[in-house]
Formats: sequence, structure tokens, C-alpha cells
Amino acid sequence: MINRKVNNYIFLPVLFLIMFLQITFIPQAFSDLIVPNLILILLIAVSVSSESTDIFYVSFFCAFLLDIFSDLYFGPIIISVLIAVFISSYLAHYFLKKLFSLNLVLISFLGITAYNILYFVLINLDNFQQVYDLTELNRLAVIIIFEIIYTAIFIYPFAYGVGISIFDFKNKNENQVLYK
Amino acid sequence: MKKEISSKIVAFVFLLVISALIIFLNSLGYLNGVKNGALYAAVPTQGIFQTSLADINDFFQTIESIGKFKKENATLKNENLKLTYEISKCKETKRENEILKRQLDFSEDLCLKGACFQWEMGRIIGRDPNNYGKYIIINLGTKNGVKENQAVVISGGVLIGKVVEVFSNSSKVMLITSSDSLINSIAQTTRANGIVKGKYATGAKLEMINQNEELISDDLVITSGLESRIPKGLLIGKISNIKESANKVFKFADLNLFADFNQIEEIFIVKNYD
Repeated sequence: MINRKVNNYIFLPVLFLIMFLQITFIPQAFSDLIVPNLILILLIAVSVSSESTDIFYVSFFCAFLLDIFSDLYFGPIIISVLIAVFISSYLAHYFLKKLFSLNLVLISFLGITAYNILYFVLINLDNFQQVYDLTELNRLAVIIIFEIIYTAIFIYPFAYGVGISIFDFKNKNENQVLYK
Repeated sequence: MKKEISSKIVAFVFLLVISALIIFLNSLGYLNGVKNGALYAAVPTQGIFQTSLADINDFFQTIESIGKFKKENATLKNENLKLTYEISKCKETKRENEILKRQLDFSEDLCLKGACFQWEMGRIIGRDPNNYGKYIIINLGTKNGVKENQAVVISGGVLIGKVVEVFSNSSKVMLITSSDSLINSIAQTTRANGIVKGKYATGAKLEMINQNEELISDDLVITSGLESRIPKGLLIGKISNIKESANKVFKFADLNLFADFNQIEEIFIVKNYD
């Protein structure tokens, strides 16, 4: 059983910092590219590293704040993030025996892809014709490809960061060792 | 093991129910206070973040663009935009004058750049964290007299979007590149009426143009003034790629937008136009 406690004193400021970056600097810095969803990659990194249910509440809180700064319709980010984190967490429970493995990347890819597809469908619920519009689908495909590339780049550093700074390693030996 | 996964499922389902409840409460308007409070708390910090990070970003961009005459290019672009706007303004004024002379009706006086409209300057303090480029958050709200559907422009009279949600000290602006954005517009030379619709942050197109109306490449597209709170004559873009087919009811065209949405920092809101 993994019972690492989240060190809120480190985790929450880091989370807030990345969230602020996500709504200010990152969209501007990646002005001509697809914007990486760093907050979701971090949440997925935490969710696959821990069996704690705390990550769902943290994800809910983050998504709630992001939704305020995002779409006019409230809720698409909350639902998409929750489902993406749940999928990652669920898959990690069964298929992730060693943290730094190919499975970590594959599970993260699935989480990110699920998020993007869900978000796309949810924001187009009022005008479903757009979902079948090839231009929009092409855009979605490009976003997913870029997000997968970003995930491949960031998931290992984030998972490593989660491992060394966010979780309490005092109980490491009692737990299922992911960090080999 | 099973206990852990079932507790995850319970937490997940519980939060989904809470989410559904929140969405429902938001649709009834009960969450406005919470959203307003969150934005109120975030605006000062975000403003500092946005400004300082924009400076850092600008610093790196300047380093990147050494040898590319970035500044010169930007100045020339700006000058070109101003001249384009001046030409557009002159054309509009000329046309308006002709109409006014004929009708002796001076009520529809077109005057921009603060001559007749009241402008309120603001800053972008937040951007859409997603990739669909729909919204920005600005630091003007009901305290500054901002109302829904007011036009948001940048220097040179270039329309970038309209206000869709107003809070006490901030507002949400839907960009014209958003696929939900529809702006009633006209082509300046041919006077073809159409709707400018966004294309998921990748640009915009001019739609719903009757087959019997003419479109010319590089013709300016401006706001028609048919929408409340969006004055006539604001620049949107240039027609770039006309697409027509005899078996379709309408024709449409891609637009080269004047605004560089990623570089905008200061915006203006047109306040006294109803």
C-alpha cells in the first residue's frame, strides 16, 4: 500500500505557481505553438505516483480555478480534468509497477488524450456540428499530437520532482516501491 | 488494493456529482459571487505576474530576434497598420459624408480614436489556458462602466473581440478567433455583408455572403455597426482566400486578421456606443 502524504507546504505553492504560469506566461510564451497543459501533466504525475484520493480533490480545485479563467460555460475543464486524472490513476493502479517506465508515458498519453477529446466535445455540446467540421478536427489532432510531445518531455521530470520533493519518503520501505 | 481503488471511485464519483451541481448552480447565476471573488483576489497578483512575465518573455524574444530587425519590423508594421486604418477611416468618412450630404442627417457621424466614443484603456491579465484561444481576462469591470457586448479594440481601431462576462474589477472577452464569435461585418469596397466567425484560435473567416455579392482579395473587412455596442468601421482584417461554389447558397473567405493576438497587452473598450 502506498501511503505517502502530500507535503502541502511544497506542493500547493508549486501548484499555484504552475497554475498562474498556465494562465499568464505559458500561453504568451507558446504564442505561435500549441500551449502545453503543464498543470494537467503535473496532476497526472501525482495521480500515477500515489494511491491517495487527495489528488482528486486537488485536481477538482485546480480545474475549478482554471475554469473561471477559461470558457464562458463553466465546468468543461473540471469534468475533463477529473476524468483524465481518474483514468491515469486507475490505469496506474493496475499497470504501473515501476514508476520510471514506458508505462508511465503511455498512461500519461492516455490521460492527456482523454482530457483533450472530452474538453473538445464538452465545449462544442451547444453546436455539435462543429465536432464534425474537418478544420476543427484537424485542430484537435494537432493539439493532441503537441500535448503528447509535451507530456513526453515533462512527465519524467515532473514525476521525479513529485518523487523527491512532494511526497514523504519516510514510509518508503513500507510501501510498494515505485521509485526503484 | 481493492479498497484503494474503490475509495478512488467513490472520490471520483462524489466530485463528478459536485461538478454537476456546480455547473447547475452556475447556470442559475449562483456562482457569480464565487467567480467574482476568485477573480477579485487573483487580479492584482495576476496583473503583477502578467506584467513581469511579459517583460521576461519580451526579453527572451528580443534575444531571439537579434539580427532580424524585430523592432524596425514592428514599428513598420505598426505604422503600416495606422496608415491602413487612416485610409480606411478616410474612405469611410468620405462615404459617410456622401450619404450625409444626400440625406442631411448627421446623426450617424463616424468618428473614431476617441473623438466621439469614450474609450477606456485596460490590460490583459489572463489568457485562456486551453488551446482554443477563446477568451482573455482584462482588468476592467463594472466599476469601470464595462458592459456585456461592448467592443474591445487595440490601438489603430482594430477589433479583437467583445465583452461576454463582466465582474466587478475584471471582464471576460471573447476573441474574434473563437469559434463561438460571430461579428456582423462588411467588406469595405464591395459593401458585401457577412459574418466574421472565428476558427479555433487559428484565424477567422467571413461567412454568409450572398452569391450575388462581390468579394475582392485584400479588401478590408470592417464592422457593420448592426450589432449593439459595436460601432461601425472598426478594422477586422483583409480578405485573403475567397471560396465560392455555384451549388452553395453562400460564399465565404478567409481573413488575414490585423491583430496579433499573442502580442496584445493593452486594450481599449468602447464605452458610450449603444
